[in-house]
Amino acid sequence: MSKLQNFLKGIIKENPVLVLVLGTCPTLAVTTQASNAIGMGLAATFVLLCSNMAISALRNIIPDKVRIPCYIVLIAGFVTIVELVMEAFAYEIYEALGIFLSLIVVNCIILGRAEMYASKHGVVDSAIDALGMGVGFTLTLLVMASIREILGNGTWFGMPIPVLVDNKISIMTMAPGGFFVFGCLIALVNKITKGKAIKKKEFSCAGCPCSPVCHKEHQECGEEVVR
Amino acid sequence: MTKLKENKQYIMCIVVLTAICLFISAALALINSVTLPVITEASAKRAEAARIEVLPEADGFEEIILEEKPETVTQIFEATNGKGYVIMSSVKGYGGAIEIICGIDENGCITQTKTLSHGETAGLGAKIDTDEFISQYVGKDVALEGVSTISGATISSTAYRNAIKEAFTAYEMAAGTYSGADVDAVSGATESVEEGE
Amino acid sequence: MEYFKGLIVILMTSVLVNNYVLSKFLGICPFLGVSKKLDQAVGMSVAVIFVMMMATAATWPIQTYLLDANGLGYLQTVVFILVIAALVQLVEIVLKKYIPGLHKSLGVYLPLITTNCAVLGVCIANIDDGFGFVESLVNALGTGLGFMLAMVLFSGVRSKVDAGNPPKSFEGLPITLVAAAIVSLAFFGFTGVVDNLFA
Repeated sequence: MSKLQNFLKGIIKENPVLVLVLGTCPTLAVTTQASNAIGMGLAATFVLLCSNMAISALRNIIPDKVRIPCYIVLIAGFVTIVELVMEAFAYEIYEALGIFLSLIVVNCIILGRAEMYASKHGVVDSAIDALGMGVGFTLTLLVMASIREILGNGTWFGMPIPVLVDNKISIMTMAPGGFFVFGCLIALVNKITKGKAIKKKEFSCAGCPCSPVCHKEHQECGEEVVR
Repeated sequence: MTKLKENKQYIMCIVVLTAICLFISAALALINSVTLPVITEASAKRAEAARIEVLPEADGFEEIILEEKPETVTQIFEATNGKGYVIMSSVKGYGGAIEIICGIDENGCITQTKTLSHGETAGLGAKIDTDEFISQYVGKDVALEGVSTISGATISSTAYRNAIKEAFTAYEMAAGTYSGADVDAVSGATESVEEGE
Repeated sequence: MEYFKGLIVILMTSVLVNNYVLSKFLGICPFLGVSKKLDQAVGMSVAVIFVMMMATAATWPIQTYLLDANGLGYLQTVVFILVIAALVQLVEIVLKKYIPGLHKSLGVYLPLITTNCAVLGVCIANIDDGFGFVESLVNALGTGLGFMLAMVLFSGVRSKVDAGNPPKSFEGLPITLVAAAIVSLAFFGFTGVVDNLFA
């Protein structure tokens, strides 16, 4: 696989949110405003890039038995760095993202890429993988947030949109709208790929904390059960 | 021999995990030492800006420490030019603390209130952060006549109202106009806070 | 008396109104992944309630007496996730040794909980909201019960949804998410309930 393909796979073919269905929590929670989506996407991309590179560099030193705690500590460290820097220099977004900034630690995308990719590949490849996944994550968040903000609040990046701003569908920015838009987006990807991605979509595998239970039912996932 | 190897493996596990923890902690301590002054300064600036916003006529503020103050009031500031007081409160709402800042001029009328932070339900309790709700407090005196609560968000908006009530008590204490008659009125208000909770 | 009333409001609010899954979007992975069968949903929820309470009981004193007291607040995320991970391991070992029956029914769910964002979420939220120790425990219990309620209700909805015949591109996850949207909409109705009971 060429480096470009490696980068592009995260954006379309293996889009972490819409195809791998990882990191659903922040996807649903912070996509009420386009600006929040960008903030969250960049923060997660930074953490993903750092953790993928660090884990890839340390992959021969970290003993297999304690690899998950090691990954978690590394990831938590990078998340805290992002938190501190954002609190100091981008306070408004820090406020808006709130608890979900800390929760990047348990975002399945990051641990998932560490486990599935960075622990088996070199530093450069891991960095490219992280960038691709991060851009895919950010773009998906942006699309979803744009739909929800435009329909639910009549604005885009805070700019009012004529007609829509007087006819808000407030439910779109609330919880049900999040589930609904997310479901529709995945259905749209299904439609476009003519159901090719549908197989993988029953539920995410190795990276997802649910994998062991999932695997009992979906042996076809074929990933090693992490226990 | 295998036993020795196993032991070595265990020691490696502990050593590596400890090393990573120590390294991360050290790195965080370093970054914290850089960002902490920035964060402290920025939050002081935000607090000053918020005080100016609710009491625009003031030219500066001085914190007043009262020996006894209402429970919800966290800080009281007096305008250095005597134009009034700014009272900061923290009251329990539906989803955690609601932080409110309230400016009261020298005539005992609210100049402006502002919700600094809250964790109320979006679309319901979160309405305490809208202009529509906040603007009804502007210009009101201690009686808070005509201020209504939000239907569907009674707890949040009642908590808000009670915080403002207690802010007035703090204002009177600070200005030295606090009297016994107010005690009853205020303790009544306090009770309704607890009922609201 | 007022104190207990306050605790009940915290409990009811976290179960019904600020439901972590349906209104705060925490713990979506297990909500979608393990809600297919009722017994799995219940097993997972019991394990989550248990770990949430334990994690809160452990992290609250650590934050208050260890981190905040020494100006180490910035280590919160690192320390909390490590404590939760260690705790889950410990619980598993203890259960395996002393209560094998319970371990058999809950054991599979325990390792998944380390990375369940609802557990870390509730620990951090308790600190952010300035709850005391008892309030934090009640909030953790309520959050766990709310998780259980959402899981159990949704597993019922799902069995109907799976039996339905949605358009091809909506099959599987998309229609599940749309169903979740409707369940979450239904939970809006609870907002007024707690408000009017205690206001």
